[in-house]
Amino acid sequence: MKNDLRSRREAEDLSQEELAVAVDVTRQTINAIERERYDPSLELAFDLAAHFECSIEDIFEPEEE
Amino acid sequence: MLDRAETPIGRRRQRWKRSIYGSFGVGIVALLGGVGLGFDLVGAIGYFLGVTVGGALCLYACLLGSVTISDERFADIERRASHYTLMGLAYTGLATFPALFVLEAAGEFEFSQPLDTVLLTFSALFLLWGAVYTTLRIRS
Repeated sequence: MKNDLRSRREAEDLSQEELAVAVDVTRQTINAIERERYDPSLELAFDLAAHFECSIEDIFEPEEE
Repeated sequence: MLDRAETPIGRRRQRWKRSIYGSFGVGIVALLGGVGLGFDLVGAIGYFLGVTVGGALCLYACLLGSVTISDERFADIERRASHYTLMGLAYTGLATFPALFVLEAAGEFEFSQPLDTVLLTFSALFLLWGAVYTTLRIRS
């Protein structure tokens, strides 16, 4: 799934580790999401959206088939 | 920005992981070393201690620790690894054992004791999988 997590994180001057701590996952998971190699669960997507104070659709965009 | 294990939490996570993997590693080395050098009991005790300490650290870190060392992505990887392993075993078993049964019935092959053990282990594994699967399906 496409996402703009990296740009949002960098806009807040957060490291991957800091964002990982904020949403209670590992840094590797944040890295995998940013590289679009892992699609987060709905729960984690909600946590990320809550952290950036936006909706899930603002961060994630489904890949067109 | 620091994107590696350069933050305090990153370093603590690394220490936890090294402690857990180290304990398991010491246990395995103790077992192999003990058996290899003829000190089977010492090796077994070393293995028991290493695995117990490693397991306890892992449980503590996952249930009570303040550092996240595993999360949903690791759980997903574990699920996929289990799936691929089971599927590989299932296809290997399905491709092998029926053919061996036919060959045995035709008098061209005889099951040895080790192969019997492998077959029983296969059967037990998939019976257990079926029981767990059925339980989960009923509860979901």
